[in-house]
Amino acid sequence: MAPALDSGAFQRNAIHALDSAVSDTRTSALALQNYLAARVPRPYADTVVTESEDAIGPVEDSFGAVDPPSPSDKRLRDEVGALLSDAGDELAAARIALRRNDPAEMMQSVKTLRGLAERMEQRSEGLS
Amino acid sequence: MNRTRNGRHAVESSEPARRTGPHDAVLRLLDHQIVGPDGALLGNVDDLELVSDDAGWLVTGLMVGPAALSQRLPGPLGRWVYAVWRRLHPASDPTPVVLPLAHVTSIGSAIEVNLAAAQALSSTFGLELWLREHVISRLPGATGDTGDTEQQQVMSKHSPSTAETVAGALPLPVRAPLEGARGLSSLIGRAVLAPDGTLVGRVSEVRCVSHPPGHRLDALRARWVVYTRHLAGSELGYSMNRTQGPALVRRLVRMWQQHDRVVEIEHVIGIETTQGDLQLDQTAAPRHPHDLSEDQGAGQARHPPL
Amino acid sequence: MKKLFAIALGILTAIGGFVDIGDLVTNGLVGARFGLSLVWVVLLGIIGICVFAEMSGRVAAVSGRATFDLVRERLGPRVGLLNLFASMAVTLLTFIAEIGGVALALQLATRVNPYLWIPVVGAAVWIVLWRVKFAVLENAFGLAGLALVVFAVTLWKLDPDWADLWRQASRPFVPHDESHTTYFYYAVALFGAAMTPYEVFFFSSGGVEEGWTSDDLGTMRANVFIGFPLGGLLSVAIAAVAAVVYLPQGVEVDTLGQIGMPVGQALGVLGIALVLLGFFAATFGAACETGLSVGYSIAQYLGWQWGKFVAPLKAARFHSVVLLSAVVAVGVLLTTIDPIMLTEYSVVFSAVALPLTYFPILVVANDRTYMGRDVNGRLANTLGTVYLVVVLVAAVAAIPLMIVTKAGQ
Repeated sequence: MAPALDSGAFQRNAIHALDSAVSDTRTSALALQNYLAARVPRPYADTVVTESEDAIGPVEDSFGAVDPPSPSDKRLRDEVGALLSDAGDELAAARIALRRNDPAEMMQSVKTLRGLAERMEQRSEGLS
Repeated sequence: MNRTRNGRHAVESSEPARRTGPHDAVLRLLDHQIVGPDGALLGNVDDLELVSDDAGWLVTGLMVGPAALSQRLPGPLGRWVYAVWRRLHPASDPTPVVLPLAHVTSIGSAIEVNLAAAQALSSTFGLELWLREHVISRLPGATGDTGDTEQQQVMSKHSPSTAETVAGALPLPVRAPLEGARGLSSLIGRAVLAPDGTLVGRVSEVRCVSHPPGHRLDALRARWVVYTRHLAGSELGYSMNRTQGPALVRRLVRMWQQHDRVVEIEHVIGIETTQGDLQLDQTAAPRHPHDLSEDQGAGQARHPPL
Repeated sequence: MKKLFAIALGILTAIGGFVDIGDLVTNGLVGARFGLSLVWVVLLGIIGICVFAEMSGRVAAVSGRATFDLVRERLGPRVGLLNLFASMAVTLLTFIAEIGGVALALQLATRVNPYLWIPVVGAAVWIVLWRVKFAVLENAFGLAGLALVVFAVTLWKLDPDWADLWRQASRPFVPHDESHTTYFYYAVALFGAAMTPYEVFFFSSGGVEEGWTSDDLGTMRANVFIGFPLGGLLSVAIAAVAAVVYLPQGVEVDTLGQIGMPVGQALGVLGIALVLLGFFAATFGAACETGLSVGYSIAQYLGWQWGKFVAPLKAARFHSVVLLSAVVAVGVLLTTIDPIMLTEYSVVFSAVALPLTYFPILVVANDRTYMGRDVNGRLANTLGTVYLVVVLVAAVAAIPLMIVTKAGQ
């Protein structure tokens, strides 16, 4: 992402980051769900869940590295930053749940990830 | 099923006149694959050996290898390739490899040579031999002993300065260039000036006929020189052939090559030197190469000059 | 009967061998992002590769000359050298991406880190290229690649809204949240994924490897005209599956795991096993093809003995190039570069390099002194000329589109 010079560009950055995070969380949720239903084997699910977790790190970093040009953008930065951080935590939790092979934990992860994805998607649509 | 991988295409057998018919050196000889009798791939024709005799110019051999190819690559790259070749060649004063035309058995999509030439040529491929010995043969499972005898390797280091022929026998299959020979590449791309000094094009093609006329292809006599305003695309095959397709490409290339002209080689002054511009003499009668094809071999211009 | 069997084998091999990492990644990505609105490009690419593969196969069968022989003959050593650099660079890039793809497929199967797989895969590819017979190589990976048919089965099992899918495909549109430039950037990428230059090197050189003559033209045409389109339909199935599962969820597809997951969803663990087999076969097979193609192109330009049809010691330079390519590929991948990203670049650069090799083939296929009566007929020439224009347009548009869209962001 290029450093934003104006509000418009900053908002586009935010949308882009949220969309990536939606993608990662939904992918992870889908992998867990399929694993719980015994549709995909463990190594496969593990790879997908880990890849999703690894993917969100750079998204958070590059979004956080850009300075918001205006105060309202600063609020946006904090809000989106918090969402992204939650997503990162949840994705890590999902990976841990899978490694521990704990069905209850995994089901909870699926729910949380889905909910988080919904919120981020709505926020992203609100910005566009 | 006896399957060979050289040019065993239908055209050859249906056109035995191929061997005595006119040969466009750049289109049909240069850059073509050389193939041995068993289908072995033996390098490309990197250049053609051109010597002069009383009657004009003869193509007497195929030049193969980095020394020849370096003459056709642009400036610094060509010089670098030549320098690397000199440095890495085992002989102290290496000469480019020439395969006399007498060993060529047929000219088609590939240039086929006889067995003696094939073996001799293989032994000149320094890089192949080095890699074979030092890298490939060290790998497990490397099969295919080539049976290269020491004798053949010794032969490759022996570089006579003249072609040794015994009456009736073929010359040495691989030799150094003849005295006073140069590559056809020294002709291609050179500027051609009209008698009044204006630039009319650059040499793009040399059309040759068999010499002496007959079955064995000892040499080719260069008869016509083709020059063009735009060298790009001159090797595609459209300049000498008016029916080459596809239609759209032919039309575009024809426009691009509309100023192509062909003259008899006698009318070109300056071929003796290897650099500098060539000039047409006053009696030259340039015409479009497509008009030439209709009376190839006739020797007399039947169409008015363009 | 034997001939029928050979034809069937050829067709099946062509179907299974059509898809490589470029097709997998690009179709998955595009399906998830654009639905089926770019399917017309895949169809365009399939017809194009059929036209040119048939031409290059015919030239190889009738004259015994493979593609890069023709490039040097008709363009000369200077332009031919530029052509060689560009083609080798793109083919090598594709080779690296394919090896990366194999490592990714193995990671999905075993959870073992791909960086541990990469040297193993590189060595395995080289060993196969060194020891395994050409026909066995082609047939084995081609047939195993048929496992990718699971995508078609998955699509059917997912019971999508067929009318909606048909509408997307037949009335191409740019989705509201995407720009026109991005749409056309991915059009070029899909086109490059379908019409890879290496396919033509490999096909024509393979024809010489297998000793094709004019008698084999019928079999060759059956492989091309039946095998390639069916293989291309597999690409469309991959895109459709991604469109059905990921597009409504707004998920961006950029990993192999995402592309295969719907198969598990629909068909369970058996489906995953088959899709992984398919991924492995497609990428490993394509790695072999591209590895050989790097060797073919330089050997044909310089006139070296090449091919697996001669004993290795007789083609030392060729095998050295292949060995060196494998070493370079492993080295590049171990710098932790993302193979998916490499793939995305390789397909676009393939589109740029296309005209360089197709033009000489078209010209030579028209040369009566080479082809005799097997010279291009009117249909081949009409299609060939149309595609020459299409290929030029794609090649010219590729880099500007890449710059403007920042490689598809």
